[in-house]
Amino acid sequence: MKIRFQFERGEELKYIGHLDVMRLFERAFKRAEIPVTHSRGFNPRPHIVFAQPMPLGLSSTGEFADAELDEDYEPGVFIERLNSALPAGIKVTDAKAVKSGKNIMAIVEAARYRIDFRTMRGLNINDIFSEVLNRKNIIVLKKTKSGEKEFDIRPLIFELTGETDKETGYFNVLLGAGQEDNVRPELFIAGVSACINTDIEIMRMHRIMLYGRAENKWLPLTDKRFL
Amino acid sequence: MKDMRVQLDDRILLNVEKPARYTGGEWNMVVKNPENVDVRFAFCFPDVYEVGMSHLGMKILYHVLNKRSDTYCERVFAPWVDMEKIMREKGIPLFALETKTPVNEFDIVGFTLQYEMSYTNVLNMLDLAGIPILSEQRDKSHPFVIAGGPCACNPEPLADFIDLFVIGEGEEVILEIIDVYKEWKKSGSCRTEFLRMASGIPGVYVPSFYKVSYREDGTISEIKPVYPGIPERVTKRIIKDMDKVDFPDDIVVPFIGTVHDRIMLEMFRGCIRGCRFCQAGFIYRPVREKSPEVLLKQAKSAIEKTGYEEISLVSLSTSDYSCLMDFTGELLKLTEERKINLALPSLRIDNFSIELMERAQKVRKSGLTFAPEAGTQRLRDVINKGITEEDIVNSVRIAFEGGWNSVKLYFMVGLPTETEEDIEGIAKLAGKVVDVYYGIPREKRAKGLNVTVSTACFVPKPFTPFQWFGQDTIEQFHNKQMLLKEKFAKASKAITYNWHDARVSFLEAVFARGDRRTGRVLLRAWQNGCRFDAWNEFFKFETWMRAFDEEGTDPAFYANRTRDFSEVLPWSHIDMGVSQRFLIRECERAYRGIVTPNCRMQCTGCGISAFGTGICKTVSAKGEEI
Repeated sequence: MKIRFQFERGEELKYIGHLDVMRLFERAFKRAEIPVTHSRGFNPRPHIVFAQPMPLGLSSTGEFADAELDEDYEPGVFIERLNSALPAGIKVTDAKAVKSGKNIMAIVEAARYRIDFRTMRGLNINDIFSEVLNRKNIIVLKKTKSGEKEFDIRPLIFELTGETDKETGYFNVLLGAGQEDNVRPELFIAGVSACINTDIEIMRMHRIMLYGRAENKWLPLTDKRFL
Repeated sequence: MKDMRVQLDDRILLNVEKPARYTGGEWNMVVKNPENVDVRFAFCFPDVYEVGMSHLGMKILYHVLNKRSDTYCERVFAPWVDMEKIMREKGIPLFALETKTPVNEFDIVGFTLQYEMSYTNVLNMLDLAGIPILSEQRDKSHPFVIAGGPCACNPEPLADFIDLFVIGEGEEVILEIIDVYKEWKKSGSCRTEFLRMASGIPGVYVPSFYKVSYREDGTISEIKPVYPGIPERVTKRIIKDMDKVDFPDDIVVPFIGTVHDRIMLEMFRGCIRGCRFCQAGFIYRPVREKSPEVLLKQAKSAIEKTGYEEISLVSLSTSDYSCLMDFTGELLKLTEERKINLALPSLRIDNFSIELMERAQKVRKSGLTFAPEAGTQRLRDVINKGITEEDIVNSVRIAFEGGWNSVKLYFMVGLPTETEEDIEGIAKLAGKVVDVYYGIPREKRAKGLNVTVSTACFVPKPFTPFQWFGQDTIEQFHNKQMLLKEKFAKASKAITYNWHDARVSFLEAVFARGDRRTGRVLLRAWQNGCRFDAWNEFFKFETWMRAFDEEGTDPAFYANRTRDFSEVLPWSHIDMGVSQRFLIRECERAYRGIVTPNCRMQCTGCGISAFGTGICKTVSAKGEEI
């Protein structure tokens, strides 16, 4: 069976990269003795696909992955067994059987973040909103394999709210995600920084949820239309 | 009680490479309430997390210490240079991963000494912990600093910094030290009293209880205890029954990749071979095997408790395990069923091992490693490396026919009695390996031959038959390396030649056989900025040479001088079980090019049978005359 599970990653586990998270789950499945289907061939790999890579430095409540299992599992039993084999700081919060054949990575088109920040001078949140949202383009430099590339993030800022209090504040922002147009929160902050001509220091980055698109709406990955 | 724990926030952790080196919390990490234990032990590995977490000895001692409810053992690694900089700027002391408690709050701080080039890191870690670097400057408010591991068989370069050394295998003696510590703590006696009590434990060496006197020529005249009741010689400890000793199955599983990121299943200690250059082959004697039943049980349990995808057999020579074929057959059943990879290091290549590797490792046929060590049969006989050119040629033929196309050949330069012919022999042997490949029909071999030849520089080590031998100078090493480089430049393009930095090997030779006076150089070099010397990018040879100069110490006295058999060696008060008489005999046989049989063929009377265990119980000890 194919099972889709949601998991969260707390503060204590945000200092590892995506490959480390993948390896962590592969080992947890082995400890939990949940038989994951392996690929055939020379070097068999377990069939676990993560919806969106999770970069180092990020905590999250809205991560998802699909696992292909050799046996059928009740989602409740699956959650309990896997959680008993996961270290503190990472926890499966939900699981559902998946009928859809669509690759989970192809579903993700956006991600919601909460970004806590600090600046050198007090800022008015509405000034920031108007500076950012009234622009047609926000060009930032994105690191690619072949060096740095100019990248317009404005079309990929879908929603922006937040608050400020003197030198600190937070954004709640829906940004483009997925395999094509992924905007990392650091890039968004670099873009905002450029718009308002003020350095912004990131205090904390948290991913709230991943989203896909159906019926012309942003829907969280938990939506049954994606299953 | 005040909470002294170190707080690390994003502004620190997101500004260093691999922050998970410092955060702990891994699967199987031991969690205890420090207030509920009597003894807090900080196990320090003097290198970065990924190296230290690959060390089996640490996993074993972490396990045996934490099995005690009265003790909490935590792990400490050397912070990488980026983290050290931040720690020093912000005044963050060295801390343990489990509870983030500063190391100077612990009762006992224990270092493992795996290689000489980690010594400056020991000093640096003590300094980062805020513990006085010199033992004599510590008082009752400081932890005891102890050390063990293979380099402790010549503890003298670190004698000024370490309160007590553990000689030999640690599983039992470490528990005895904890017992004595508790007794001492209750008594409320002075710091020296604990050391006096501990010196009564077999295998414990307290350097401050010994006085070293020197002759005018700089050699040692004698090493004597300064108090009555302190043993004249400290004899190493060993585990008598490997089946009964505790072995960790619940090992900590790191989040980030480490050098050896797998289950390590220790099959046996010691080695039957007696290669004369190899310190491990002498100091870990006698050979003591675990039974296949115990190994299989430990393997199964470790697989279940860690979720690791790979298990590796660990010993000095996998092929010498007495029931290897049956055991690996059973083990493969276990690993195949669970889709786990079996790694088989240090296998001698023959038909059996090729078949085994093909079955065990369903991965690309990447490199196979061969270690002829010397280029000619004459020199291989001198070092007692019991393999012939025919063995090597046959092995590589089997490997090439089995589909391998990449082999590594390991040699040493600067071995005793070496001549230019022996150096040329290295190039000739590599050439023969290439010929073997092209001698196999095209359709029967994998495309694209790749032969990597690496030469290390021979470092004479204590407790080997070559412990008296003067190492080649850096210049001599260099000339030999350049001679080979030239030879290989004209040889097949399939051959790549690598060589070790002779300057590092020179320093290793100084500290492997150094006396107490070399400790001052160590301190000076560290003060002048040396650390992570085992890492090319941080090795500062000129700074080291300046330290020798400033301390008025001649490194050549330690590295390049050939000693007389009669000289009092700096480690002569340490007894690793192999007798001086045996080592002299082996040294003389080496110079005559006479091979000595391995322990399984015949006992050669090395002295280790006094321990009355392992292979000495099955092979009768009567080989004194050979």
